[in-house]
Amino acid sequence: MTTPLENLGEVADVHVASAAAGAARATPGVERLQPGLWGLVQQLSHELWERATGEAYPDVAGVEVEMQDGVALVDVTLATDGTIPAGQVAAAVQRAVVDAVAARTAVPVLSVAVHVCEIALPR
Amino acid sequence: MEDVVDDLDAGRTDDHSRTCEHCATARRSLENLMEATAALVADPSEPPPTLLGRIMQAVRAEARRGDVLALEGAELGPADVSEVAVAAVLRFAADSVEGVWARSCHITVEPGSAGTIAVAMTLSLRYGSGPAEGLLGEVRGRLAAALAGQVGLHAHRVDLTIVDVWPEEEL
Repeated sequence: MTTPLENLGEVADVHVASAAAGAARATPGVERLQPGLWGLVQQLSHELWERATGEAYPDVAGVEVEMQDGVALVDVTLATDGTIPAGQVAAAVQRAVVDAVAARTAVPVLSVAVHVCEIALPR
Repeated sequence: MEDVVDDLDAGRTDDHSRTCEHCATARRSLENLMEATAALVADPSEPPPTLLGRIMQAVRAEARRGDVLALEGAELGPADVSEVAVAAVLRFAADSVEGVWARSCHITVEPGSAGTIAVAMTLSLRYGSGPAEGLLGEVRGRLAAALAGQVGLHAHRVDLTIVDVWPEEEL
């Protein structure tokens, strides 16, 4: 049986994306990671796969990883909670992602692009 | 994006959507999304209660990828923020001044001045809220604070234009 992990191609990509997503989500000032339409499609299909198989799949929606000659280019899209300037949040996410990927995988990270698509307004 | 959704709903295509690369990409993504949501609907278990909200967030994120402002301070790769998101922060900041209602907000970037923007905003004022000069000064202060505290940019120019005054009894 082919799993979504294999469907994505390089398994290393998913491990890098999983480490990056966890680190980004845990960064102060990050409200959520935000997938686009295609990312949401992948997220929904992973949820269906989890329901069908009972196996957990890492939530990497909002993170894209491209491998080039053994190094990773990470792309993160997120919403901030508005408590910390978006520029500071983006810089902190970059540092957290590089550290987390280095700690959990043997893949070096060449760059981390951060896109802030939304800033939460005070309620 | 809304036009593409409407065309998909109606099952039609026009000359523009057939030849525009961006519309074709959006159309393919939406078709994939519709297939995935159809699979969820066909699934005997309950769909996630937050599904509609997640779809709308994804649509907004997709639509906001075009116009972005570079963020300063990022050292390990590029970082940017959606212009629409910044405009929403600025409109909210202006609205927080009693008697002021932000109508429109346009942001431009001066070439070669990273982290610095120019803001052009139109406002409505409620008659009787006080001298316009004082209200506009308060708006400028709130805009600067919001830009620094929530975004991490600063404005080298803020143009405020009062386009409407409404009487108090209309509120």
